[in-house]
Amino acid sequence: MPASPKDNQAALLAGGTVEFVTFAARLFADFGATVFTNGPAPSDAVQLKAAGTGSGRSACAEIYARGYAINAMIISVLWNPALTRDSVAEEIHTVVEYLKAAQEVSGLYPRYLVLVMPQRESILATAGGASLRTLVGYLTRHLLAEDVRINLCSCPISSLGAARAAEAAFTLSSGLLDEMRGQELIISDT
Amino acid sequence: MTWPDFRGKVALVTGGTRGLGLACGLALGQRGARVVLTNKWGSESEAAVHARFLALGAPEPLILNADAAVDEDTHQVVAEIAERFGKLDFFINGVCVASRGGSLASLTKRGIAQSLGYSTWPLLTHLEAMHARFGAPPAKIIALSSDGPDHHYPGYDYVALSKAALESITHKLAHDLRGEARVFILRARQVSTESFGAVFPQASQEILAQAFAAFEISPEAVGDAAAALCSGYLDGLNGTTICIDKGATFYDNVLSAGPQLLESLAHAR
Repeated sequence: MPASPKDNQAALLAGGTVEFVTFAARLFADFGATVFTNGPAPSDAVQLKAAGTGSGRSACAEIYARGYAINAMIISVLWNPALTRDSVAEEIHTVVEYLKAAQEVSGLYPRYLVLVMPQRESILATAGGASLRTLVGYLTRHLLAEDVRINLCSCPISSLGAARAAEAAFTLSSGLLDEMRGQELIISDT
Repeated sequence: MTWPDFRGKVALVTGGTRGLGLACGLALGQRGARVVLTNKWGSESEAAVHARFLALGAPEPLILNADAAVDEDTHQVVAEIAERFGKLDFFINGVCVASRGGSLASLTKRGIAQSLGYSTWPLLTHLEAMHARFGAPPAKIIALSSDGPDHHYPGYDYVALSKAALESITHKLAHDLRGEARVFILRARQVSTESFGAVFPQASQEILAQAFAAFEISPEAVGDAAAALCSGYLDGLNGTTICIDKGATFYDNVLSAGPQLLESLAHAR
């Protein structure tokens, strides 16, 4: 994306904190992407288009209906501080839902899928993170023949952590790390 | 200028005139960095390397003849960089020289010493020389490695030993140089380079080409990854291992990859 922004290429930022979405939206927008959000949206000057606050399917359908292909999909997962056993499963399944939805509405998977999760020590967050990590590996295997790269960033819950996670998500979607798949980047704020 | 913009930056790539080292040098040069490549005397055509940089519109590289296993050469390289550029921003430890292993009988003390001497210790020697000359390490340090330390590959004994030691040192450096430098391990596998061809038997290469061509990585992909690590956009990482392998490390096992291999062999018959 940074090397050659293409027309009608979109980045979808789903979920996450306002701070993370603000950092990420600026980066993608600076390099020519049209940025859509589904969930928190920054209120500053970044030109964003809301894909809604509904399901992954409705967000993907909305973006496609506006004539855009989703090049990069950045999904924040497990950020809810009040995780329950049920919500862990639900959040992990969100990833599957978005991937399927993108393919179903447009016939294409996003070229880049970056999952962003917080570094938390609660037992449910830790278990959810482990599941997510493994899901990334299995999805990578299932989609080996497809033009999609799936990676995970875990980041500290801090302003610097959010900024660095946004930079990492952007770089994973930049084309420079196209053969890196199914991995986790552990972001530090020190 | 292709993103990220490295104009004004200086990079040293050891073993940088061929294979993955060259790919990293080209990726940095293409983005404007002044690249210094080390080369053992007469092992590569300098004209051909210059032509590769020229074709990309990269600044002309400085190629220095140096034996990575000889400390005096290493200090001379760093002294030359200090004199010409006055600084060093990126260091990519690419040099790797090792014999083929393959059996207990073929493992020798000399072979182990040679692989460590060329592929592991030069990382430390270069950083010592840089510290002596500049008083600080380069901002980004990348050790080129492979997944040999935790996967068995035929004939790869010596390389794997040296890469394991290299990665161990790299992790230690990431801790010790916190606040001064970002240190990374860049692992690649199944890249068609001269070294790959020299280490792995022809039969293994044929199997890979037949059954696992989808996992093949281009040297350019590794170079691009090095550029990403030097970009500053991954400064949230330190001591991290980046695998350029299309995710193969996760599913490269008998049950997952075996059927693919059998199918390919059946087709070949």
